[in-house]
Amino acid sequence: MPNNDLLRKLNILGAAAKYDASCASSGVERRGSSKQGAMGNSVACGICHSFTQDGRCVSLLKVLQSNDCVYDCKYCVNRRTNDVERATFMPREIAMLTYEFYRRNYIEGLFLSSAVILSPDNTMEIMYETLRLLRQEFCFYGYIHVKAIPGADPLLIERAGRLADRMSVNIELPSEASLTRLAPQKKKRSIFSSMRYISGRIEEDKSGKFLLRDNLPAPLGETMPTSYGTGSSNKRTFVPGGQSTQLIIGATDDTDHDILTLTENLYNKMQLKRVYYSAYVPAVKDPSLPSLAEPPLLREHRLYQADWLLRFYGFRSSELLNERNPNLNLKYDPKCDWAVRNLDLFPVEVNKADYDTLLRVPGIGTISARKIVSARKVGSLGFEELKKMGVVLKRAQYFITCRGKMMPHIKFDPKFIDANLSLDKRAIPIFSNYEQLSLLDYINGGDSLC
Amino acid sequence: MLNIYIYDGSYHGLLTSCFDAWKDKDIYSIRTKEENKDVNLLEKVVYIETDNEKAERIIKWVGKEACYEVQRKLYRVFLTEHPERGMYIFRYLKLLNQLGRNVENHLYNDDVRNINKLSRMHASETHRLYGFVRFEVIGNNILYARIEPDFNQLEVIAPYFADRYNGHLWIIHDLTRNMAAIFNGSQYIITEYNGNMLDNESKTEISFQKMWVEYLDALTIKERLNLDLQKQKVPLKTRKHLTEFMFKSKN
Repeated sequence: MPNNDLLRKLNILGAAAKYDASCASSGVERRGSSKQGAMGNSVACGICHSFTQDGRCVSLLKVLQSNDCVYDCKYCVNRRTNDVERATFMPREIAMLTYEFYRRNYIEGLFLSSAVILSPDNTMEIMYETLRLLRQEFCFYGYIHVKAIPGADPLLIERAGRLADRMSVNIELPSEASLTRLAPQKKKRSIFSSMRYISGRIEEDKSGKFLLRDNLPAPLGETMPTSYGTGSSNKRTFVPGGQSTQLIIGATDDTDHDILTLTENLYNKMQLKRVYYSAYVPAVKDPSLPSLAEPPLLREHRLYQADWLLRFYGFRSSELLNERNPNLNLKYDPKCDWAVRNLDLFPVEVNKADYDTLLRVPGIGTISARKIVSARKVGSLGFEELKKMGVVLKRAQYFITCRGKMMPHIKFDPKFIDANLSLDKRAIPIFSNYEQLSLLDYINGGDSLC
Repeated sequence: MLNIYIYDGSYHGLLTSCFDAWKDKDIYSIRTKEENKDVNLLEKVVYIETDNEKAERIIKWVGKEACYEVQRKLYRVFLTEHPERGMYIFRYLKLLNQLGRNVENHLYNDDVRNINKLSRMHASETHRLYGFVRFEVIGNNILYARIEPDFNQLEVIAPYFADRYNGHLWIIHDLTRNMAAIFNGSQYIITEYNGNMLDNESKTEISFQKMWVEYLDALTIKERLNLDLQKQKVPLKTRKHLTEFMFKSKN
């Protein structure tokens, strides 16, 4: 039976977790278990359960184990010297809350993070105990995303990772210089060594090299649980939903070029599933922090768009930004910006261009490109056909021809294009960066977006 | 003469009509009895007796000629309860017969667009319900949820929730259609279900609802407030049975 103390903790530790952008419950397809008392499943495309007043998707119960931090990172509300109310959940309290919320279909599962309570090891052990209770005692088969605390013993990360679907280590500050200045107790080395451990283990799992090392000592006095992965991720023993991370945007003077290059390396070298960007919200005052009137939401949005181009559209970060041109154009989206700078590659003929070329046309996404490739097999496409198929021409019209002709009244001229694209005055497009699935993709049975 | 085929409202009935009307050049409409309100002098009514064998033959043929996905699409179109669904499905089947598997590439053909559009609308509502169904725990650990979807969804969401809450008891009550899916822990049935809106005001249930509502408030970043975006993601018409939007007015 819940009581006021639990409600108080949930309020504090929910609020303390809100700056974590990730809430995805995607990447793992798992049927329910027929085991007595078991509950839960997982759907690869992820499911949003609610949206808060800021328009962000809520899929998981996102809480901190504790906000009682020994660190003093300058940007963070939970820093030791900040005067906020402190609370710590007992593992059983979180397990019970997750179970009860899940039962009512409020959530897909748990997203567990934490401040560093005494030490990274100590924190990770308590978090592991929460996961263990939830998986073993509550027989919970829903989604679990757990933070790895940088610097924690790999053995503890290993244990938690076997019970979780996704694991993440937040980099937060995009460069070592920023880290030294704002989070002196966090070390780049420990952040990246934890990330490398996780990505290494995922690789071992995928290649089938890894065997459960069940003779490892169990510091919590429990026997090692075996993997909860079933179905398509049956053979994965460790975070079958992959690894993600988060970068804070606007708290430091790192450029978009720095951020996107780092992102690209994380995708290519660490095989991350997702990099999240969180516009810095001035929650604490400190002379070393910028005083922003508002969080840089548009910049965050443009970074997500660029991120999408890296992951699904075959772009390299060097095509979008370079040292001389280090920040994304806020006026229009990064694909438009790239296209305007590379007009010699356009216009492309819709009836001939291959799929990868179509994907590079502003306004044409994966769904439209697929539709075009499929429909032109049975007939030649004009602008009318494209419209009927639901291909939006608002931006694409400047960059394509149908049967060799541009759309009427459209001039293929840099000034004309730039002027018209800039007319789109929506400061913050109504587009949620936190949406975890493309519904159309889901329905078309295509690959999941995250 | 305009021929109107009347079926019993079941999917098999609709497919039997398609089967029987296959060669009819004067076919005008395929309707249920309820949908067939005014008949004018030019119209001739044909009553169709549902024949499961004929219906299954069509379903199998669709699977062979196209694929499982197209089978699902047509079934979803049926579940939308759209007044034209009968003819949409009939014309799509004719087209499938004519073009074979290629029919799916004819994305700008009106008959194909109708089927794709309705099945997509149905599927997105299904997906939304996966997240938006809200259970209350009533009586002896029974999960009870009310829904009022635009389309008939019980058939497609019941298997999902049966898998998710395997071994648990639940009822999902469609208030619009006076139907419910009832799950006994291992099997579900879909049945007529009138009135009797089981209500539970146990203290435990209310306190969990309260925690959920307050939690969502705590999770909001006030500096990013964007009610338009929220409204786009959770349209007003879907809020009626969402705990987080109804709790305050209820208590």
